[in-house]
Amino acid sequence: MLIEWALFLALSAVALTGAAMMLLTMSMYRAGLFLMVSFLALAGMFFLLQADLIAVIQIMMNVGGMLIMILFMVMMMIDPGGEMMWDMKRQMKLPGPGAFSMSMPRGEPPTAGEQESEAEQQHSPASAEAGYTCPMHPEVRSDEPGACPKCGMDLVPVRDPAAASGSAEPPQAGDQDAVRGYTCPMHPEVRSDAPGSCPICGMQLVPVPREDTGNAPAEAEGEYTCPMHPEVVADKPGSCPKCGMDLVPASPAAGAEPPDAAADADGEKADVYTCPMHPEIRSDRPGPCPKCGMDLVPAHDSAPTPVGTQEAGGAVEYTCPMHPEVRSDEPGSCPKCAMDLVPATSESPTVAAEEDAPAMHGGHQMSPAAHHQMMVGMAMSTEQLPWAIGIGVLSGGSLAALVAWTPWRTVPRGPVGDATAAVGELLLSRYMMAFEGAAMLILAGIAAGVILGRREGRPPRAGSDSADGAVVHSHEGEVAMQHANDQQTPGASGVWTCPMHLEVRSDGPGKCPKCGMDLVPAESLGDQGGSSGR
Amino acid sequence: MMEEHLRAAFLTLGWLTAGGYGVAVLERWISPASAGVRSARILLQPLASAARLLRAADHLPPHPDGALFRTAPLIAVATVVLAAWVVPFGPATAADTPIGLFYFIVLLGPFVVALANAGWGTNSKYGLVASMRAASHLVAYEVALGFAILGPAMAAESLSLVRIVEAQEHLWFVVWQPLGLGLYLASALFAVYRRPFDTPIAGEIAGGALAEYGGTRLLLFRAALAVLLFLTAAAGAAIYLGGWHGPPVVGPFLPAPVWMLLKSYALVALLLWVGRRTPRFGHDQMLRFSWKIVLPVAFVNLAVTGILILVLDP
Repeated sequence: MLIEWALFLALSAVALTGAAMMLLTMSMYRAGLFLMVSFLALAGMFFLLQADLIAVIQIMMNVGGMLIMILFMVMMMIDPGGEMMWDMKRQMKLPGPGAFSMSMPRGEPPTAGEQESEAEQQHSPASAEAGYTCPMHPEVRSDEPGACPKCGMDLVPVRDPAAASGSAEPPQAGDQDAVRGYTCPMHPEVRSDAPGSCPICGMQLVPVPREDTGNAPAEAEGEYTCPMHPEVVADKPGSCPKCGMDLVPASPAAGAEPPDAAADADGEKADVYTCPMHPEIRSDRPGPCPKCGMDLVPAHDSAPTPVGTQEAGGAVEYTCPMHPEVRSDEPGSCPKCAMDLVPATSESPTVAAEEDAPAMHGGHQMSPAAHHQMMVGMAMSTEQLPWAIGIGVLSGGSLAALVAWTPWRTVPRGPVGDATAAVGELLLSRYMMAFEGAAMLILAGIAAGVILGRREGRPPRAGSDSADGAVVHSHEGEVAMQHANDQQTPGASGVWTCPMHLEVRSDGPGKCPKCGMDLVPAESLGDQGGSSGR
Repeated sequence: MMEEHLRAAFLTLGWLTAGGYGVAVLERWISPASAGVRSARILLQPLASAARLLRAADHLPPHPDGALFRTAPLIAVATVVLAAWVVPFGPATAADTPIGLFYFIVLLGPFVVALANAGWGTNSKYGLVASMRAASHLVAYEVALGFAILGPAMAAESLSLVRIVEAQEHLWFVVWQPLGLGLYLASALFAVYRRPFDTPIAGEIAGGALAEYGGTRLLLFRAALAVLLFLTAAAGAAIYLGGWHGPPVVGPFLPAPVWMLLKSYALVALLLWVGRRTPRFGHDQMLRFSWKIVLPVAFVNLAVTGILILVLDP
């Protein structure tokens, strides 16, 4: 008896925990597994009830069904493993469990004062007095030099990592004359015209000095340098004397001036290379895309061609209806989705120029409050949790009432030799009727959640007052961002954008061509709209 | 009561160890690499491989799903142990349940989950492909295997493996249901991840789901795969080859468990031999073979068996 009780409680805990974890994880693969585990625990309870056949059927149906569901989720979802969500969380430096799970942002969103101080800190000129930070962990800040508490690396001055290399006059982040671009200390193939974070590892990009101050990577043929310490130059492969990393060949050949990201010697725009799949990647040399490995292709120019414009001579540009950042001079198929390219019109949402669009990776352009609201809105499971708890309590109460007060007979104790008779008796028993009644209630709860969620997802009427930072979302998980006294109007700039893809710009509301989310006014995300690339 | 359970547990563990080890020896014996050097040393090679794996470093791939990666081999081992509980190696050793055959078939499902988790947990392209291929194996074998075992269940009028073996005391089912045994072996090959249906762990994707495993975890997986093959063959011997009964002509001059072991190893050898001489099927070819060939033939076998049961009443 004691063993049976212990098994029952253990199986119940596993079933409930599995169901809860299914709600809380953002990895669809794990969600399917948690649901499978929950049902397997239920099968264990059937074994305790000595309903072996139903237990085995439960195992068969749920293992097979959940596995096929996982298979389809992996095939059809954009982010089945939750990696995109995890990466976003990391970019916004939110605490909580690590990969493949989403936790709610803790505490209240930053106040206006905190936002201002953070903005000042982000845009203040680089100086050693601003503090020290770790190249690998930018969230680590210290007033004095030392070692990073997370990885032990030496702290470098904020936004002035070149000072760590001993340069007398390190190029400033805003000093465009002295800087010919920004690169990642860990991934030198990443090049950018503006400061930000590395799209591969999230490290702060460091300026690449225009002139050879002795600290720039060696460019002579046959020289090797360290990706972390560009001042280390050797004439043969080996290990960096500072960090031990393998030295890599310094790029361009001897005597050859590397192509300037901004301009060549004549002052005209040099070739810029970009990835067909990731137009936000810009490089001044060919190579593989740091995100997907595809070969970089020459960009038409340094900025995506604005919508509606035509090439000199009247040539028509073609774009993909699903991927407006894909541009081509001739008809063909979209390299991303293979749809036929259509002539670009003024109605298509544009992908704004890189210097105009707030960088998604790095998260410096989106305000912290907007980040917080977006994360809260996307964690739709927590918003629906009170409903789930309420339905669960109601179902449990109904189950208890049915068990206590119904007149039907219970399941006979002891093993039953005839499986068919056992199934029949079980189906007509009090417990099964109660179980089926609880299942009906759960279905009703889900339907109610759907209806109520749709009602919540509708935008408020004009003039309604919403709480500051209030977020509403429909049962499909679409987020409608709202500020206090802000209405669903585009505002002064008339630009609408996607909360997930800030480079998508449109004149009016609609759906994001990349992820299908509803477009929101750019002002609601803390973005002044800026140029739409026209 | 407790003594009986303990005795059954130790006996099951013994059968699993003997069966898995025997499969490993048979694999090496049949392997072309052993041609010309087949000797008694092959009997010790599984031990040497196990010792080598136990000494090997246990590394994790970069950025794995740690929970899935670590638990996958344990799920595989747990699945085969639970499935072994109902396979009768003798009249007094089985944990007899009324639905033993159905239970055994269903318990092959979590093994697929283990392989899928292993592939997914490595966070690699080959692992992802292997994971999806493993799921396709479930689609391939489940229905086919279910129909392949219906004939003996109808003949014995029970889903209990012990009853099915007892019903073959005078005439094995393979004598008047030979097509059923062929269907069962074909479906079993889908379920045990052996050539020609081993795409989730094939060399063409660098080992697939097992590519990133090493050391103890790989040893657990290989042991689980070997035991799975043995158990499937043992179940086939119980369902179609009379189980622990000796041939009706010869009689029971060997102990019951020995007959069961011999028959199981014979089926294992047959499956391995077929695998050696058949090119690997792609997962799409496997699914096509399962649903377009095996399943219709299973329907025919079911109809023929039903008619024979009604007419002959064996």
